[in-house]
Amino acid sequence: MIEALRLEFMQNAVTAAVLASVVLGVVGSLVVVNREVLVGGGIAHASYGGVGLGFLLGLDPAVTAMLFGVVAAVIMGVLRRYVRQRNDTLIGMLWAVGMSLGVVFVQLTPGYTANARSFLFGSLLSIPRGDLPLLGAVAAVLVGFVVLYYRPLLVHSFDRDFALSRNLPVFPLELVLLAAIALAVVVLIQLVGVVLLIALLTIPAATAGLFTRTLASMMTATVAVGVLVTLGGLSASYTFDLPSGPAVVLTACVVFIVVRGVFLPMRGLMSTPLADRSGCRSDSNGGDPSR
Amino acid sequence: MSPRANAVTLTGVRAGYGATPVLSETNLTLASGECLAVTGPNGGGKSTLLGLLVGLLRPFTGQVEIHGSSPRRARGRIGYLPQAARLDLEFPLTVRDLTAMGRLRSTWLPQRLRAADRAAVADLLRWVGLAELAARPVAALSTGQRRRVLLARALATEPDLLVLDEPEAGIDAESAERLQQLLSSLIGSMTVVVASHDIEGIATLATCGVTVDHGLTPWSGNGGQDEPSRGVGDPPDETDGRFPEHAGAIGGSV
Repeated sequence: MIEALRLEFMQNAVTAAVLASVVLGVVGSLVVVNREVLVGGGIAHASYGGVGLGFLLGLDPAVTAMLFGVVAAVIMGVLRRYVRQRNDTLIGMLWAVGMSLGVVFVQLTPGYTANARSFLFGSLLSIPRGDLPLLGAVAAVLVGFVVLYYRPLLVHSFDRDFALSRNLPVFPLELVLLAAIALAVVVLIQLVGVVLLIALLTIPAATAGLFTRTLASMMTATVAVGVLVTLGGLSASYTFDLPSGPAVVLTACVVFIVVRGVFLPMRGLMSTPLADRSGCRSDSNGGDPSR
Repeated sequence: MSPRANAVTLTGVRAGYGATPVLSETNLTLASGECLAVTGPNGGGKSTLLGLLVGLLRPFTGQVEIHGSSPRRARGRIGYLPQAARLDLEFPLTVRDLTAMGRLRSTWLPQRLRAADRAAVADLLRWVGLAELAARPVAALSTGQRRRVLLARALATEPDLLVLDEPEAGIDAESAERLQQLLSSLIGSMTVVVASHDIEGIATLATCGVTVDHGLTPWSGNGGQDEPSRGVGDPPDETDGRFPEHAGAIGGSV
């Protein structure tokens, strides 16, 4: 595996995996704490319409997927605010329409379009060096945004009504958050593809959430977990000649199960007041050790 | 003696969710410094009334004014303690970070906590008796402790009007008593509106009260004084306690 790092395609894959982990850290954590996992899946699948459009028009599918994803995210945000319709219904429609458009556009594209399949399941080992600056730029924009707007994002994510009562720009924050998910999609789509993206957007952040106390530490830990699972999956893919996307997702699942097994019983003990453990609850969630 | 300015004025308000009205033709005037208890059955409109005051809901018709401005304009002067049931207790958040949310200013620009903000947060956590738990995750607190942190967050906004939605819900009698002691020390320093199912507790705290059941029926509070308060649902009495100053202005129709 170490020798393989001398190969350019492997260097590209490792760089992309690290950049993707940074994106996972900031956006995946926000997706998980905002309970927007389904939205992440919806935007990811809608962006496949952009992939198909890129093939049809002869443009870079990564760029058109990003633009398509951002437009889909903004449409979703506006519809959620102004159209009285169940949230999951809107997401499901956007999900299916985007995928359908992608398939139709690819079908209409003349010539050989086998590369379109790599956007469905990812192809970490075939990421061209030319795509890395775009991935780096997206990661830098997302990290910069989260660093600058961490506190408003924290309030909005935890208690939307309180954010409204403080006159914070809640609707713009929601739109930007959806656009951030769309930008994350363009990075992650190259690793695991549209179909498996929802797993990578969720599992590393959920893993980090098992042992962190703040959103900031959850984001940092998610980057570390992301590096572990993407490089672990990449290594498994190279060593056992497996498809890279599924290898990364399966590695993420294994890491989640192990970390949950290690931390959750310990976390339960640490966070449960003594009164709870003795069966003497003073109210619905235990005693009051400060008294 | 000059009359105190009105902190809250509702005039002919009709409000609800979607197209369904929950409150109809509601009028309310509350002077600065008063503590208004809001009681009533589930679904009667308590949270609707509070949502109007905080600016989370807009009335179908009529007008809501907080210190002479719309609730939206007055948001910087309103502290809000929402119902605990609506919050995600698994959220990765420490007691200190939760309290510090109250120090956020209303701006589109990026903002960071200043030294004065951190000092204010530390003071408030000391006041609610949770300074030692500042670094603890909110999920690890008892329900009573969580209510006190949320009270600290609401006060961190330095409000003129404090709006509390069922602060005693789900906590044991001892924690409720401690919370009530904290609230009673606030009476007079700011205007307080508190919705509660704990009719006895809230009656000893409040200077006036309304029962909300699709409209408002006034009753008088005790304001922490020794005399027993009037029963909830009793007809308004313009000569009882501190209520007369604005008794004529509180009313509603179903």
